[in-house]
Amino acid sequence: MESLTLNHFLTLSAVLFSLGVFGVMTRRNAVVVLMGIELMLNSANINLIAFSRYNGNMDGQMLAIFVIVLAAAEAAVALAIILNLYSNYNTVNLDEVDQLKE
Amino acid sequence: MTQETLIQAAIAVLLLPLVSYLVQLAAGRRLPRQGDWLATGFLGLAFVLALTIALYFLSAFDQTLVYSANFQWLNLGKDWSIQIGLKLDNLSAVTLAMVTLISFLVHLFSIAYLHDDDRYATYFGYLGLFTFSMLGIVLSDNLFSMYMFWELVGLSSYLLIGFWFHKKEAAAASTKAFVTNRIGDIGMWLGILILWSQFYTVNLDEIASGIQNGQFTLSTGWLTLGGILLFMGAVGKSAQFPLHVWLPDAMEGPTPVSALIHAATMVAAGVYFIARVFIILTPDALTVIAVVGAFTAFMAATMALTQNDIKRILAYSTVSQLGYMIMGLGVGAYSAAVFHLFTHAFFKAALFLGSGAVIYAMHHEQDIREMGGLRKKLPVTFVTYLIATSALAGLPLFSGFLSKDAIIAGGWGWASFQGGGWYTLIPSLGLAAALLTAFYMGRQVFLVFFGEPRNQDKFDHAHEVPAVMWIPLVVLSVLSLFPVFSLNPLAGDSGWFMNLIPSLQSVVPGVDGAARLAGLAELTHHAHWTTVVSSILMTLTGLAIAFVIYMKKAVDADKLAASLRPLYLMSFNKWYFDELYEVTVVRGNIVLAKVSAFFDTFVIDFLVNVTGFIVGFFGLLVRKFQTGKVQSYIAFAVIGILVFFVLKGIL
Amino acid sequence: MILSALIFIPMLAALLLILVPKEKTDLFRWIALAASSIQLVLVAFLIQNYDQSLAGINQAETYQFVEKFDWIRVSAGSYGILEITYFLGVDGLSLPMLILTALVGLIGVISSFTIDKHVKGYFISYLILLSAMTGVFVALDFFLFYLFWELMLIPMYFLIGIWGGPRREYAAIKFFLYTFIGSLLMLLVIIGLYFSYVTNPGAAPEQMVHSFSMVSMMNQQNLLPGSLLSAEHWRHIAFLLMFLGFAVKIPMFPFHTWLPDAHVEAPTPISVILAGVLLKMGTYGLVRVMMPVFPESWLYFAWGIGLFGVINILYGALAAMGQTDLKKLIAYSSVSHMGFVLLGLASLSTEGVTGAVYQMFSHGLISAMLFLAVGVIYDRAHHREIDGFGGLAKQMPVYAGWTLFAFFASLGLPALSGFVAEALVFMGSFSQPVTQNLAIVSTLGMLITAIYYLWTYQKVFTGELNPKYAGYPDLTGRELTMLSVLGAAILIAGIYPSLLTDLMTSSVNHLNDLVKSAGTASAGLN
Repeated sequence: MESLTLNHFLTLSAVLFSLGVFGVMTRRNAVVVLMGIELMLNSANINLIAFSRYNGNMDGQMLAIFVIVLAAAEAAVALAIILNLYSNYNTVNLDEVDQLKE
Repeated sequence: MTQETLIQAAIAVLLLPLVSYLVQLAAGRRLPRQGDWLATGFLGLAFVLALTIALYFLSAFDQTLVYSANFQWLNLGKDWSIQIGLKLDNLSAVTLAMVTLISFLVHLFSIAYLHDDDRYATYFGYLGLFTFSMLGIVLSDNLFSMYMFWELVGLSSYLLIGFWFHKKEAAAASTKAFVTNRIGDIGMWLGILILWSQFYTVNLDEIASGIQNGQFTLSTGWLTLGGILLFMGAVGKSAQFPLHVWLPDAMEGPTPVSALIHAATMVAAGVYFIARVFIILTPDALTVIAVVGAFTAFMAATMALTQNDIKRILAYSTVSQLGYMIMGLGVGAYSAAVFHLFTHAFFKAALFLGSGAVIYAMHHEQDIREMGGLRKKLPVTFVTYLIATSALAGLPLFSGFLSKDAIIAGGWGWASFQGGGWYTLIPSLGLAAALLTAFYMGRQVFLVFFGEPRNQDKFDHAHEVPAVMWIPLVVLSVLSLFPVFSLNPLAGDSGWFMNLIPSLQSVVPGVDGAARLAGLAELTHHAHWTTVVSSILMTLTGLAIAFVIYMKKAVDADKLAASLRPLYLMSFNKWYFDELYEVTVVRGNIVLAKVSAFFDTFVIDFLVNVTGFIVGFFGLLVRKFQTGKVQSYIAFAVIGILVFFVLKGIL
Repeated sequence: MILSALIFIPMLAALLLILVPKEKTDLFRWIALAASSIQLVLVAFLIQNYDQSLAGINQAETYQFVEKFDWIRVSAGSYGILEITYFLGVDGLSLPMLILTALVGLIGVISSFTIDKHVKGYFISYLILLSAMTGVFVALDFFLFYLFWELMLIPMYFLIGIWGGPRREYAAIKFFLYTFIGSLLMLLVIIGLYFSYVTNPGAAPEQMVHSFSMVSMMNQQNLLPGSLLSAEHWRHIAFLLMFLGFAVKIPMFPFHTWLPDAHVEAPTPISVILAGVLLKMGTYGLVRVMMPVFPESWLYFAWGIGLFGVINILYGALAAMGQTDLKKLIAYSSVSHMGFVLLGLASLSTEGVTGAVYQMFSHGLISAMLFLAVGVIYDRAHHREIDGFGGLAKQMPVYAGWTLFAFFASLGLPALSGFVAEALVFMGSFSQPVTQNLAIVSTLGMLITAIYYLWTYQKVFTGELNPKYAGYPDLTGRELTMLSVLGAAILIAGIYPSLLTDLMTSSVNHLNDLVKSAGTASAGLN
């Protein structure tokens, strides 16, 4: 059987990333958008770890852990924002929240 | 006395007035009598010390005696540094005594003259600052510190001219004085820069020896230019043509100040400075100096003829006398010029203080047409004024005759050394000025002290001034008599002064300094007796004309003025220099400034704002992309990245 | 750690202020005062322990009080190692600026005591500004330098935009955009430099360390062969771009128009900081960065730089003469006086460069004093029209005296610091053939400066007292303290300049030699 190469990981990561971008761009629900962002972050993590494995040093793994920590923090903050959003606008539909324009 | 003691004494003389300034400024108002006794006492002490130094030099009577000391002021880690120091030689020693004496007397005089001024303490402070700066110039052994003190003198002159700043004229005059002086100072500074860039030293002796050894690598033309630029400083400070316009206006200051600064000492600083750099001046530069001096002497004398303000007459006379000194230096009559600096300092200070006494007695009336017959009311002032006037007019038996005569003789000697021709114009102008001087001083004395009082009311209230005022007058007028300087009333060069401070030999390469010196001395000696006779004749003629017009009233002055109207107006309006400068320099400056300010606001800043506007306009277009929806932003970002990928694929 | 302390003490004080309830306005003032006093004490300590014989400039080991830590260090494979360091140090160029910052910063705090609008926000901004300025003067890593440079912009924007005069928003935006464009150009060149220099030339590509350290960029052997900035024309272009960034800050003609607006609108203490310290950052950038990093370009453009210096001197002075607003007049006089710095630096002589650095110091003190003096009368009369006053010397003699002192200091009266600086600049630029003609022309500036100051004094202070101003009190104790402290500093710096020049001599001479020798060697570069 053909062994697992770097390309496999990269393809997986690219697919995940595209899914994430797609989700962020098309969904109206803020929670789903947040999930898309998480997908993108994790696809990057896969990339990092894959490179780390194939380059034989620990830099990538270290960065991945860093990203996971950040992602956790980010998720917490983002959910808090979404909650606030809901309490202020009574919706989590992003199309209705466009005051940034002003 | 050892060298150290002398130097220390000199430093003490220098610093005493500064201390007086600081004390007066900090605590003057709180001291009893506002500290006038303190300031005057400091100056008295300084004078005693300075006199001791001068007497030491006099008793040594050695033309080459020099004590100097300097310290490193600025070292920038190179093989040169800026040294600042002081130099005691015959010239600086006697000048030191002269300046402190006059300053002391003026302090004394001011005690009465300004006793009810509400800035009495400040006034004495300023006098101290001035004296300090002036002594600094006198003692400096280098161009750099000389320039520094030079500007400080300008500052104290500014402060004192504008002392009564609530008068608009006084404030304007002080600004004018400083700015006009600055023009000269720029020239002087450029001159210093030329020498600095050649020798990397500011010490005068080192510069002189550098030039003598041919280390001046530029052409002689540059040296001439440097000399003329240095001379520009003196043109400003000593009020020579074309920068003479500030001095008459400076008479807005208190009269004792006029005596100290604008007659006896500060304005003489220019002459002193040229005397200090005399040996490095090229013959061409000296010719320029002689021409400027002679022209100024004549021009200012004509301006003095028709003035009515007692102080202004004296002011123009000062300009004219300074012209003599400058001319004397220009023609190489070094010691005569310096000699005139001294004699003039004493008799002109006496005249100014005398006029101050008259003004004081007349309750601040300065117009000589309002005076008359005052000799009965002010006997002491009258006698001293008469002595000083005789000295200024150049009557034999008085000090002014000795020095002025020596300068004119030097002028004749120089003219024939240069080969006659138009060079004789220089001493001729000097002689003409002597006649005019005698006339306007005669006019003044006759109008002020003789005849009938023209303003009976003021005359009745006039009375002799108090002792603190007349004592300085007496001292100064005694110092205007011939025995002080020379026992021979007809020859100044046999006196102690001109022997103590002999003429100097030029160090300029290409000039045989010794031969030039000897030649000038020889020819000057030849010219001596003709000069004596001609100048006495000139003086007597001038006095006689004044006597005829103003005492005998054989000729009516007004009619004479009317018949010579263009000439009269020319003189009365000071050759229209103020008007000329107003139209050209002052207006020009204002216009240039307004244009710059306008250009800045409406062109440069306009361009800046236009740029801002254009950017803003594009911003308005691009604004459409800002929908406020985060997702569309992300979409733009993704599209952007994809575009880059596509581009990368294509390229 | 003393330099870090110097930088971050105001920042910590700002943090502390956040915790203080906003009604306690006096507490804000005293905390700010304490922070900047500590700064001054620390600077005094620096001077005390400073070794004058060490030069600094391009030798990392002769910098003093050095703090150097790796901040970010990432291996980028074949590209090499990317490095950003936290690198602070002091040499003879930065020490005078530190003294100036600490002194003027303290005076600024005292002057800020009259601010009573949003006191909390004001002092927080002010302290951050102080931190940022100090940081600029001690940073030796470009990244850090740029960080502080930008950090300074933000509080300044708010200080002008919130606490300023009627047109404060316009002025604040103008100031911000102008300097920001300048710093973007600078950033561009910094990145270019970053890619073109390594700290260990000759190493294998993977081991090459790309660093933001300025010091390594000053040594031309660290230049990576074949990189962008090893080509001479690119170096010249980079030089000009970066010069532009600094020129805006100096400010150099024709990029100076933000200055009068900013000054007119800024409150007094901010004007003091702006003229006293901020403008010096531009010229400090020239000596710290431009001269040692681009020596051959500096030599190539020297005459042009000097020319702009002379234009600054004369044009600024003439424009000052044409003003009717006191603050604008002084703003333009700053333009004029900063021209001397350019001229002195262009001359590349010991006297000239010393004079230029001295001018930076001296102008900082003098302009601070001038703006304080204007502030005094503005606080009382609420206007600054030169023609609207008259005879004030009668009513406020002490104030008139100190103002006259400041005016004379600014017009270069001997025995005051401005004279020493200008004299040295003249001596230096005149003795060098390159700048000799410029020096001659620039002496006219001495005259114009005297004219506009004396006219101003005449209009404002002399003549009959305008009865409108008859009730005005003379200086208060606080005002007198500020003016007299600055006055004393100006006087000391004017009478005994060795105190300061001794600190900078070895650095200045080393800088000069570095630029000159690199200039002659640059023929081989290409």
